[in-house]
Amino acid sequence: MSATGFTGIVVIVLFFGLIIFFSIINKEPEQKNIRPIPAYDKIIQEINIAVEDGTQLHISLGRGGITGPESASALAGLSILKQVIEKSSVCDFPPIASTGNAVISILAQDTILGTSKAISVADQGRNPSGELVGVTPFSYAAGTLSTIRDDKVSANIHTGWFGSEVTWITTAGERQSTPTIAGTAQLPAQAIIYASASDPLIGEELYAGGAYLGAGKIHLASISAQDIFRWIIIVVILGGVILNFLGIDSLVESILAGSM
Amino acid sequence: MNIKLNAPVSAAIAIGVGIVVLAGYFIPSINNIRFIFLRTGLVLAAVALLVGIINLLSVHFKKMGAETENSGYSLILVITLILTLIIGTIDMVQTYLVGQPNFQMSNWIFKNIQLPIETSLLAVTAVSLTYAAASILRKRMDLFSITFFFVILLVLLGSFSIPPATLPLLHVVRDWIVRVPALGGARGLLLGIALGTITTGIRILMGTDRPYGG
Amino acid sequence: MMTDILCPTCGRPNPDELTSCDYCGSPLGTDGPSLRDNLLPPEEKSGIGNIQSFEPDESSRLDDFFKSEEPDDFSLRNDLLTPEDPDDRESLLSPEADESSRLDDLVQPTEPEGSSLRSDFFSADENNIWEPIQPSEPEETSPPDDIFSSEDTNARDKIRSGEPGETSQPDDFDPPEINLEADSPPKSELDTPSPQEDFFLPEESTEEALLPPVWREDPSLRNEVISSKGIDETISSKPTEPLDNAELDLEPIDFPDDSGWLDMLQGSDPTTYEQTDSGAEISPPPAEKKPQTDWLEKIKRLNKSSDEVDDDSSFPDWLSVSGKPEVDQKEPGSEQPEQPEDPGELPEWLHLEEDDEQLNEFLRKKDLYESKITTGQTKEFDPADAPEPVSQAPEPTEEKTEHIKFPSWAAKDDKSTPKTSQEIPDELKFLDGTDQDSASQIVDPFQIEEEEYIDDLFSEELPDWLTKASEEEGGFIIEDEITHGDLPGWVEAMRPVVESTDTTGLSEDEDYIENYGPLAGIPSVLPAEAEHAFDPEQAAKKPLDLIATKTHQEYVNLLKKLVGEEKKVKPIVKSAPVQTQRILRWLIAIILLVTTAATIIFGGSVDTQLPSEAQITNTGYGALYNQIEQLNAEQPVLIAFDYQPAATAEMHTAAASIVDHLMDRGTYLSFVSTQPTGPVLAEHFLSTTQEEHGYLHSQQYVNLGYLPGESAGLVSFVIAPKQIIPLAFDGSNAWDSPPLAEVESIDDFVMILVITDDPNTAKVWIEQVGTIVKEGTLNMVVSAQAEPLIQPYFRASPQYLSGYVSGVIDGLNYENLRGQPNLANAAWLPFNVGIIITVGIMFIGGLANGVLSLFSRHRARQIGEIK
Repeated sequence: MSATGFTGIVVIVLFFGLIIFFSIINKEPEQKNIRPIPAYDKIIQEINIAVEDGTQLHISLGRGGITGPESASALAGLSILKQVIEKSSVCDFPPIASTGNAVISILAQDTILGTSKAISVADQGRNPSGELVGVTPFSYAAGTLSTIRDDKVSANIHTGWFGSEVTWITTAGERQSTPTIAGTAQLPAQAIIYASASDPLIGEELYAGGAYLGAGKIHLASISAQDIFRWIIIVVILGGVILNFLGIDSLVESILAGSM
Repeated sequence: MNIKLNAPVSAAIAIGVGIVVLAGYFIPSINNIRFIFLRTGLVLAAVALLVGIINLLSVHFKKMGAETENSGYSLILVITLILTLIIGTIDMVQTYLVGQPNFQMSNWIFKNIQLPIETSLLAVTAVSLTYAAASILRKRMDLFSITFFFVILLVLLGSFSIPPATLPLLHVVRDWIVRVPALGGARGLLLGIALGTITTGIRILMGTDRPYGG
Repeated sequence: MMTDILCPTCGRPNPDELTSCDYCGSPLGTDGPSLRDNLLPPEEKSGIGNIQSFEPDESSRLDDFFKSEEPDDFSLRNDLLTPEDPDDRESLLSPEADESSRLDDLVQPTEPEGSSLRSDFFSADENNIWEPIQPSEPEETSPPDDIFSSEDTNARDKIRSGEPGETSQPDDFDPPEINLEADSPPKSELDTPSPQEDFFLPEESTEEALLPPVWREDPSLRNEVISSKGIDETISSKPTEPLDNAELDLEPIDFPDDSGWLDMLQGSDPTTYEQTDSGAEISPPPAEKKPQTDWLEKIKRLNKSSDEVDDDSSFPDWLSVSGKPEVDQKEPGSEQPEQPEDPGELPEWLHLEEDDEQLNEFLRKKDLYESKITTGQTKEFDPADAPEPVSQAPEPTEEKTEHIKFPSWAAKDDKSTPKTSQEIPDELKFLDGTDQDSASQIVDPFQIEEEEYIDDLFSEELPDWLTKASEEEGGFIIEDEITHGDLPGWVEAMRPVVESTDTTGLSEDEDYIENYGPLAGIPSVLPAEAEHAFDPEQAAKKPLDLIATKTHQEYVNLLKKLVGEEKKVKPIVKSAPVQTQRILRWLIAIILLVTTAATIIFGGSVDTQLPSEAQITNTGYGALYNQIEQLNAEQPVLIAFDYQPAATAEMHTAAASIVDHLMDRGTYLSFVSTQPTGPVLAEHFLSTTQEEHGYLHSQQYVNLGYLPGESAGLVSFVIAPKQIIPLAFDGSNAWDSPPLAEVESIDDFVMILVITDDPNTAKVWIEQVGTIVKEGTLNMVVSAQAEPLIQPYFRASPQYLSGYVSGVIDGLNYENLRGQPNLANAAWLPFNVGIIITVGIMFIGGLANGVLSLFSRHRARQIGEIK
């Protein structure tokens, strides 16, 4: 086994253990001690507004699949979709989900049906379908525009894998004067989202959606585990800088090269 | 026959396959099993694409029936999809059955319809991006927004290279911005995204997150 | 003789044809059968007129008194009339009887098959003294005839019927239902004649007055009854029988000496009986003395003090007697000290003045007006079923009666009766046992001597003559305003605390002690009454005067405005910037389009400088150039077209020179794509940018087509490319063609060039393929947006990325490096003009928006401070 493999196993096992550990020792979800993220507060606020006004939310899951790195952001978007459906079950209109990937579309439909059954929303005719609106980025963006421009939609939540086509989506929401909460793991799209969305999610904030929307203790524990690893990475980086400064970097590089 | 897989069964399959594929990265002996699972997943992904297309058709068929303002667009979409499917089928039959490779009609549709449309959409995106950058200070007036705005200007100006008006300093600044802060920030974001990806994957393997309706 | 109808409310006579009373306006006539119906046969009803059925509530109190342990629903009415024998009742009705016979109907109650008050008072055997009452024929019979059987004509004759004018009509009297039952009631506790019976008794003697006429006729029988029973003995203590056979179990009561009115009742003159048309007089049996009414005595005793009343919670207050003898009590011909001084004079309290209206109202309030005497079908009175005669007549009231409250209907009419104080009208002479000519007086069986009983009845809005009488008695003073009603004794007994107005020892919130009503004595309760009497009628008439200050007016106006705005539909106004945004967008688009198009159309090329060695070194495009330069002809190169159709322009501009360089080197090209549109894009790229090279499929290049599964498919392809993609895009055998003839695995490719606009795709290729293939194999042509993400892989060690070209700028540099201008050079001027325009728009717009944002914030802050 190479060093990379070994490092991978260590990281995975350590992550798993930290999640279990923090899920045990952490406080109840209602007493979570995490920094506020305005975008998730906005989501909850918009859910309440939708309940009050009798409008609905639009959740877009992007065009990422499940066989690549984009799958994480797509799954995070599905987690947020599940929480939004649970919280907006009393809305007159259920949330609308749109995707740009066939596999994510199927998973979205499954999530909607399962969550609706769990919260006893019996009228499946009113449930959103999680439809596939386009297979290419801009066709996906064009298909989403019609949903965003619907007057019944009071807020848009874009969480998933997006490209530069997210510009269309966010600006369409701005034209409708509806708030747009967006987040993606794609860096260029993040820049666009930061400039055009009303409430952007930066970086790994996308993956904290479950914890902030009350998905459970495991989600909160995973955030704590991420924080631990973040500090580990910071220490490793700083350590490497120091070693490089001390002239021991070549030794480290050779070790790393050999292990790879 | 309608088979409904209960949530425990779905979770068991998802978790088992995920553990095997993950272990295959580190344990060479089970690489073959991992390979089988991957190939099976590829086939399922292709089938899922077909399912998605059918779902798209059904949604727009329903929209055609309802008297909504976008029912006409749904009609156009369905017609073009069917037409493209027919043309592609003809081309495939000609190519694979007759033995005369001929994708002229498909190529024509792509070159003259899809390609111009998508490139135009990207061009309009440039306009939207320009407007978004110009209005960022109206949305948020904070240090990060101001910095973001001026970095955009610097990078763009650094890309400008017309000899009489070229400012070498701008090139240097642009290169420095791209290589240092942008790169560092991007790496930090990627590291965070990687951590989040690992966390999401572990939650899937633990069965905490079950997007498959469980 | 015209028959008058007595108004059930005011008791005044009204002509028969009237349907409403002339005096009080209340409707005349009864909805159901009345006592008259019970007493008179149906054919005689018309003569009498409609008698309002009368069932005063207070009679029930009297019933409670008379039958203390009887069921609650038992009433005096039922004592007198049983609904079980409708035939008897009907048989008693004499349509031809005049109005005076109405009371006679009551005076001589139909008898007895069932229980009656009389039967309650008297034992069963005594009740048999009463003659059975048989229905009489209209022409021949009279109410007395109906009451008494034909066999007892003597008794009937003795029933006096007074002149109509002399008759004191109980204006408001509706005789109670005569309860006729076959079985005579057993001996009752109050084994004395009922008040009704008292009414009916002749005035000669009290005892005789209490005796039915037949008794008077048959002295032996009378004496037997009287001697055997005696008035006092007839009152048993506790009757246990059911109602019909119940005995009044009231103890004999010693009434005050001046229990006048009851004494009068006891000594009822036969002349009080209503004289029928036949002229038969029914005279009550003469009484040697006015017998004491035990039950009245009991009432007197019980009412000597309030303690007695309190102790005896079952004793209704309205029956209570204050103890002070009524001066005006009439005791005609009796030994009672309360005999009226002038038997012929009507007591003052009996004088009818203009009080009837008040009394009417009072009675209405007391629901006396609405009381009905339910009568049913009565069967014919069977003399054999006549109850036992009452052994003793009820004793006259004692002198202890303080004041007598007598309804005006019990008093003689003003016209007919001279009203003198201390004088009993003729029609009421029978009450005190004196003979009266008039047998047509209708005596109210509910007349109760003791004023205590009547307190509740007459406590409000008493007629003047009543108030005067009470004043003279020194007792109850009636005021014009509404006075508080007295609580029944049983309620008094339930009072939880002793009345006390002492607030010492109470907390601050307990400083109020209720002084009125049932909650008297209890602290910390809401006041039962307002401090000032509240007249709802006056309040309704008088408008409410409010003093509203200017502030109040403003509040009212504000409230009106708020309420009025509630109904208004407020349209949701969307923010205005939408319009300005559209214009701005159009403006930006027009400017960019015009400038770029003009530059492309009219602009030329721009001379670019060749980058120096220093600039080339350690650049991505430099490294790629060097690698391609080292390639030989017919070496397989894998090119991945993983970009979107939208990015065709930039990708073609950046990759055209590289692919041209590869073709110039004579390498075999293999195209693959993880995008569905990749294969078509590859063909398009070749046809648009590399047409001059004339590469043919399966000769110089192979298009492997679409690789599904994204990164997973890529990994699989890297592991086993031949198995993953066995055929070319056109279906031909790709691996047998020259471009792939020598390729068995991914490592056999000398170079892998990935053309992508997505940094993630680039990462996937780097991470999935770059880690497997040999170092220096993987190169990329990426969009400018992906450069920051792939640069670390180029600069890392080990170097997973050998070289890359990023966007139009590196494409231009590569072209300059090769010395062969291509698409990048052609697009350079429009590209730069576009940049300049974009920067300008962004700078101006951003500046303007920034300033506007500052101003709006400042304005909002000022408004916030003002608020």
